[in-house]
Amino acid sequence: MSGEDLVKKLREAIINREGAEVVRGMAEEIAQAGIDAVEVIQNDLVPAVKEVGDRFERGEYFLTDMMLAAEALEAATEVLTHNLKEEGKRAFEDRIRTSKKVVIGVVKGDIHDIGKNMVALLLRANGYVVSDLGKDVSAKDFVDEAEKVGAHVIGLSALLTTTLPFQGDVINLLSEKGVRGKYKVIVGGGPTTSEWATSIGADGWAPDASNAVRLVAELLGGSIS
Amino acid sequence: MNYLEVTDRALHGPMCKERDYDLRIFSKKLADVVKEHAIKYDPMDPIPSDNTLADSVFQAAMDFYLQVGTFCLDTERIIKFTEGEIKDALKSSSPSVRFGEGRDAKILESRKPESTKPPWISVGSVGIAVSNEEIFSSLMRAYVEHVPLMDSLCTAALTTIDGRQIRLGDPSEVEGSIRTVMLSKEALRASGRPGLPIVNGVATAVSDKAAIAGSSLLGPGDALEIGSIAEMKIDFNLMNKITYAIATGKRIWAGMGPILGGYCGGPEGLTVAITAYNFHALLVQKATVQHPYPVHYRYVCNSSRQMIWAASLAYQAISRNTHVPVVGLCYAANGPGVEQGFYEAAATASTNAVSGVSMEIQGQAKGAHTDHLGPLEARLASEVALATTGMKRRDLNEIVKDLLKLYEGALEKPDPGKKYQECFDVRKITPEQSYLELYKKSAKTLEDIGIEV
Repeated sequence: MSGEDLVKKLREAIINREGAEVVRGMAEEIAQAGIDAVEVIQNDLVPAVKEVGDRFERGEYFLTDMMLAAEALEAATEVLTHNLKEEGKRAFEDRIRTSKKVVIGVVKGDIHDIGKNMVALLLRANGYVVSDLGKDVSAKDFVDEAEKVGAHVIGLSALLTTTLPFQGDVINLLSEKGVRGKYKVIVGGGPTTSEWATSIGADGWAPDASNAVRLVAELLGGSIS
Repeated sequence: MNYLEVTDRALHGPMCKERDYDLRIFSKKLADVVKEHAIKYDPMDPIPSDNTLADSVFQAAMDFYLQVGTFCLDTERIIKFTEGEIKDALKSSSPSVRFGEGRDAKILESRKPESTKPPWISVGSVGIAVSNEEIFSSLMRAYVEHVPLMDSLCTAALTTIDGRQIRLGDPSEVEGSIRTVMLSKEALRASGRPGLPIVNGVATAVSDKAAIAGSSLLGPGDALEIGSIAEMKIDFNLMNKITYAIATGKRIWAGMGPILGGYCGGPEGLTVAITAYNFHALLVQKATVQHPYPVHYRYVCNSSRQMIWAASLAYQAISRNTHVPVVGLCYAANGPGVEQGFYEAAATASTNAVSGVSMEIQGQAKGAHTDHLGPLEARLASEVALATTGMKRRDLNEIVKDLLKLYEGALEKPDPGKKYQECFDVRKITPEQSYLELYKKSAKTLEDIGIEV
């Protein structure tokens, strides 16, 4: 099989949710064939996950499909980068360094994470580097992670009216630490509205996962990363 | 089954990472049973009337739940049950429960598809946020005074008390929870129906301690609503509430909210999941009444065509094969004072009435907008529920198709409508003229398409 065919097969395997193990094997073959891994990741794997995200937006795929595709992307990336030579590793690290980074999570006390998972996956599908902190995340953990990874955006999710105030806590903590201006803070979740976002001093609000991706793009200069 | 036995299984059941449960157990097994039982969505039949299909959904749900059980978030273990245990729980569940006190006491009974037995009509704000105590009290009274067909009250969630924001886990949540019950009881008394049952009296409470504090003020005729976590999950916070309810003899209104587009996948997966939650509710939530509130992942309502199909079929599956009382929640994407919102309410209320269950009416404006709650949509929905009781499924199918034409296109960008205080005079508790006119106009439209309210 030609290198081009191997890459095409891998791309289709991700779109068809064939699973991390299958994809891992294909990535091994590509690595052994000496194909430029950074180019494969950039030109084939990320667009494959983007295609999965588009199908989700059209209602053809569901959350599970996106999560399986993201797992496959992770597995393939791990194999391909593991086999990179020094120069390739540097190029890959440069790409990560220059990518737009988003720290995301569900705020303290709240364990409803399905919406947040959708946003994280669609952001990844659109080329952002996402630090997903999970659920029940303290304000301190959001701020620490944003500082650690050099985030551009912090995304705060909450589904309960009694956990909404914790979105404001993160913004207050950023201000207290004198780093509020370093980050764009966006909020979302069932009971949130644009009025709520404005009232706590957030930079933006999105009603659903697709709009969250558009919002991040707008806040970071008007284009998808 | 003793609840400590359920707890033991949460502590010692098979271990599993949450992501593996979501993707490789819940989603995978759900897709498998949908395929094995050949369950297929038909957009032309939002109200299916094929009994064989409904029974297949029930069997698929049984096969599914036996394989997936319930995931405990605290222990990352699966709580599993045998088929015998599930069947025993179904057999020993009560088909009827008496709620309320004095003149307002009434029996909530299980129903069957196309039953002529009137459904139980629970009315209120279904835990949606309201801004302060004044709006809360007026709104609760407005439901009681303007929806005469209501059998129980489901309250709103207060977001502030004494002008301070309520926050999970601190004393404001405990105080907010207690005040929610006290204000609701006072609203019922002031409106002349003091014995009307409250079924979610502590809507403000999320933590176990706040729920226990608030529910200590509930009466013997009330119920304590206890939810679960999507999909098919529980945690010790919820299990503590359940343990408390069992020990104090409180009836449990067991909430469950499967999501179309999430781990359930499409409408076929959703209908099986709603049905399977039936077993989870009986065994893990110790449900007295089952309270499904399925929602669409993007529209955040259950009035879309796919949602109506999935809910109707699941309710038929449960009611044909069990005798558990079910009160399905109706949820609209449009808000108060929006014409399409009235038709969404009519579609979901009639779906429940004809599919063999009772109803709670209703969520509005996706539940996202504080104070966007309107009693007249609930009033019309209650009247539609009675008007369609006893109707054949195939007849309602044609009516629902007509109703869908009136609002389906508005679900992508629904209008959140007005706040309660813009629809009603808060002090006099009377509707504004324009809101009343819209109610009348919507009722007339419903008559034109075959629902005599």
